[in-house]
Amino acid sequence: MIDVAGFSKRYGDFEAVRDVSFIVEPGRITGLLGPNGAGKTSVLRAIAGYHEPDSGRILVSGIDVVEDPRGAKAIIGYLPENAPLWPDPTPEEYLRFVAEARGLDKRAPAIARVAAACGLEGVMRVPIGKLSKGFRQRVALAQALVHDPEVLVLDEPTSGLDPNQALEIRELVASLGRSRTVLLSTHILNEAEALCSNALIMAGGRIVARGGAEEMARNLKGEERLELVVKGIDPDRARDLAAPLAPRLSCVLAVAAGDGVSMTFSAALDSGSDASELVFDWALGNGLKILELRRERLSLEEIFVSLTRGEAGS
Amino acid sequence: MRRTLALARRELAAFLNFPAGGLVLAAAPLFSAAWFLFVDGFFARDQASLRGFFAVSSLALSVLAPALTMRSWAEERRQGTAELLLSMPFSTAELVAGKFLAAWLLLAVSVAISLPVPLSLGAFGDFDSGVIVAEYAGLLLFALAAAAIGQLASARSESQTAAFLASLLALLALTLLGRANRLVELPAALAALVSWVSLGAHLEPFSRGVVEFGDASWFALVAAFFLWLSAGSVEGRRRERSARGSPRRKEARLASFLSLAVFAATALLVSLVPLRADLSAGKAHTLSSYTRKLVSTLDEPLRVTYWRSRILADRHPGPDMIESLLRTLESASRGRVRLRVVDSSKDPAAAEALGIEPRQMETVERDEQRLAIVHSGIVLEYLDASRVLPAVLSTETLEYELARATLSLARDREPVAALLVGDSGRSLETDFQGLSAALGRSGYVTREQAPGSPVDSDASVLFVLGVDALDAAAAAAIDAYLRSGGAVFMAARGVVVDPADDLAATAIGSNAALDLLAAYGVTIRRELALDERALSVPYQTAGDTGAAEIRYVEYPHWIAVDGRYVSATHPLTGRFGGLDLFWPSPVELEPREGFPATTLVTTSPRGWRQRTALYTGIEENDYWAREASATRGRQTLAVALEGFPPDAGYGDASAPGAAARLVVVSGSDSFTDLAGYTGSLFNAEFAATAADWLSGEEGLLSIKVRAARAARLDRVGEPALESRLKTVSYLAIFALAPGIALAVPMIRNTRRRSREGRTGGRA
Repeated sequence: MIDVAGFSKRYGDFEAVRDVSFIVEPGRITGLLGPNGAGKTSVLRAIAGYHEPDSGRILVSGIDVVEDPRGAKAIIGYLPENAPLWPDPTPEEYLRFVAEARGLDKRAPAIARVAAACGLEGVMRVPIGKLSKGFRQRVALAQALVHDPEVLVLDEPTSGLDPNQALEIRELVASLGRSRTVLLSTHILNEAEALCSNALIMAGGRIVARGGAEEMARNLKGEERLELVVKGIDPDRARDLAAPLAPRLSCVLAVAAGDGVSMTFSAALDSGSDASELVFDWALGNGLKILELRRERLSLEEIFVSLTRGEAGS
Repeated sequence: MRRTLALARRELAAFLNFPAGGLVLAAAPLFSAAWFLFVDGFFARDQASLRGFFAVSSLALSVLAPALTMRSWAEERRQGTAELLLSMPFSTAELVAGKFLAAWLLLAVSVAISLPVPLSLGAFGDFDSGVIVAEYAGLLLFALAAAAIGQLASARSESQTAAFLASLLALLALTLLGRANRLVELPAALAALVSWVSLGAHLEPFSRGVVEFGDASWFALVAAFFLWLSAGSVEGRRRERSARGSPRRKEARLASFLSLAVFAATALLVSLVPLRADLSAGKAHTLSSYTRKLVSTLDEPLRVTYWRSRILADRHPGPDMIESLLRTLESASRGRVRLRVVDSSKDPAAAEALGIEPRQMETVERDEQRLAIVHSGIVLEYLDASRVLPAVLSTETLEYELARATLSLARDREPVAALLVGDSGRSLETDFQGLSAALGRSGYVTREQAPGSPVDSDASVLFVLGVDALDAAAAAAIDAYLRSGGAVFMAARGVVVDPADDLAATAIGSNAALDLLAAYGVTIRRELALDERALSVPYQTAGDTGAAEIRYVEYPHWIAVDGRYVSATHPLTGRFGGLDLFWPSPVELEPREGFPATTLVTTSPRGWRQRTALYTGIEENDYWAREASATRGRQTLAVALEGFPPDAGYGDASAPGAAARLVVVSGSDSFTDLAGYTGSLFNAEFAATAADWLSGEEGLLSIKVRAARAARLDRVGEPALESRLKTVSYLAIFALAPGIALAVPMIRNTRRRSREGRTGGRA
């Protein structure tokens, strides 16, 4: 269990995290979501003991990370963002060092276990500097697992990976999450949805939303938009024609663009991929010539910003 | 500990994974050796000392240490790898210690790469191995401080370049700081502080072979202090840039000040611990048991006043060393010695009135060159008598001089050396000034002894300087003196060579003094001994153009006695400086019962004799060599006898009372001022040392023969062999050791690459 209460952290005059409190339950994967600069990394670093909170208290399985940093570090596996690894050792050498540093008695089986779990067998003797980003990420994950920790803290575990690599890592994390306390940060909504049972959303150094991951993902996905450019119609007429699409689609904007009209539809909850199909069929049914149909999902930043606004307003 | 070692191993591996790592480690010893051999001119200086090498080495380490430590934190932060390291269950102390240990081990390897320097150069001369061991210990201790300072710079810097420059400047400043005192005049307290802080000043005693607990622990304390600061800096970054003036910052600053105070107090306390080890040969820098006993058994207090000018003490290391030796003497004396150190610049007239010698010294003050009158002399007072050591600037022979002066004060008499000139045409005033001066320096009062008259009973030793003009009466007087328990140094010869007559050689005929020696069992042959180990003489010839030119030619009649061919066990030659013998005759020894003899000095095995054809002209090589093959071998040149001389036929056959001592050296010309020709003081010093042995002052002798001396690079001798050995040394120093240092990381990396290839897996 991770218990964060009243955590704040400043860097000089910049207040990175303000009075953040949450609990991560064991046997679950909790996602920490938020745009860049939201303060996610500051929270994770404090839990991992890389830096100390200015105020507040962080307990990891009941151990205070400030009072007993070594005790806490011993039961945490931490994967920092961007897998900052030394380039010169091979994964084999690196994992051996980590196992020694973590005071493991049976090092070889532990290394073999994580190498297999992270799919590193083929590259164990290649210097880390020569490995692809995906393999480096796996080495970094392996080092976080080598001591079979109770608690895993993963900072953007799939960032910079190609979709296949990201999928593999997700599967690995999902399997790990069954028996451990896992806290991972991400800015990829699908990842949070796929992996996490709980989610915390941070923005501007605060937690702005928390709850079940699926529900939250659904809420967030409500912001899907469609951009349609059609010919042979004027904006007012287009708006009228689009009215029957409600409540699943609402035309929020229709402006003249060249000899056509550019329309923006807002898709309602859970419209999914059929929203674009609906628009397509609607245009076709009304005899409109489609010049362009673009699905535009609001960036997470925009969603978070809007959430923050809501939070500030409420 | 386990984690510390794991991190240290990892740091070492990181260094070895860098293929040019070996080059970095080898650069410092290579530079030091090249400087020492070629810029400093080791072979040209012809001194068996590596002091210069170690002086450069400490500066080279001051450059290497920053290069090895600059990455330790600055680069770790730049790569972001510090985040992983700090998230592992290391304590900050373990992290700092692991990185420090690795850096120190690399510095130690670099120091070890220089081992061929003493190992190969040792073949050329009689080096003091204890001093070399101490100097290495000093470098390794220095490396402790350097590694810690480097780590702090890296922990505090944003980039490795900044870390390198910061620690380089800090180390050079700390190393060279002690020299500032010699360049500018600082207030006394500041000057003392400067030399206390300076790493170089704490390294200095190691170069004499003295390992003081205070100096050794100074390096350890400096290392501990800087590691503590490094840990604070790493820890501080973990708490990361809390706003300025926050309570934590104030706390940290307070802790820094407190730790500095604790560090200073500890260092001060530790410097008071009087533990020291003197690794130099014969413990040349430690009071001998003889001196300790001498001063602790004095009946009355001995007042010792050291007059020295402050300006001299500030600029010259001598006065400090002298004062420290005097303090040691004071504490060894159990209260008998009362030491006072007086600044003579306050009252120079008083100092000079006591007999302290004024000297001139150049100083630079506010860019102005000035001459200062300085003093450094010691006055010893005992009861109402006093002795003065008018000019003392080093501690090399100081203990001997102090012991000698103390002894004469305690006995209330000075030892007398009676000098009897036995060669015709020579006089004490014109021919034996060098010898008289050397005896005077050793504390002897010299007095001329007339041939044939009885030797005064108060004479501690009789020098018989030559034999050709001595008659039976003179021989009888020598015999009588010796049989009464006297001590005689006899410089004899069997062949007279006349420099004024084209070096014509004439064998001495019947001679009473030589007969006396023969009766004692020491026969000086009427022959000449020659040796390939010879001195060179200038020889004027007509050159190719017809103009006169001076060449130096080897002259085997002038033998440069080699330290390998003297008695290693006799106290007189136990630690032998050197001896130049001119036209010596071979000595034959047939010891008589009760008067056993020791062979002191011989030629090398490449010595030989001229038995009949006594050619001594320069460059008459063919003539010299005529009997070489028949007589080749070691020829005895000096002997020492101790016991009861047999009856030589001069009456008084009654059993002699006390044991007598006799030293016979062949080649009486060697003790005339002709010996000054080589510029060495070997012969006069040998005679003065012999005087101490002869007069039964073995205790004094033990101080003198162990005193540090600059030995020559004379081990090899043979030029062809010497140049081959030089080549071997250069290869060992500049190729072998650095080659190994380069090869190890390269082989390692090649093996890693091949393993990587075998696994084939590449992502």
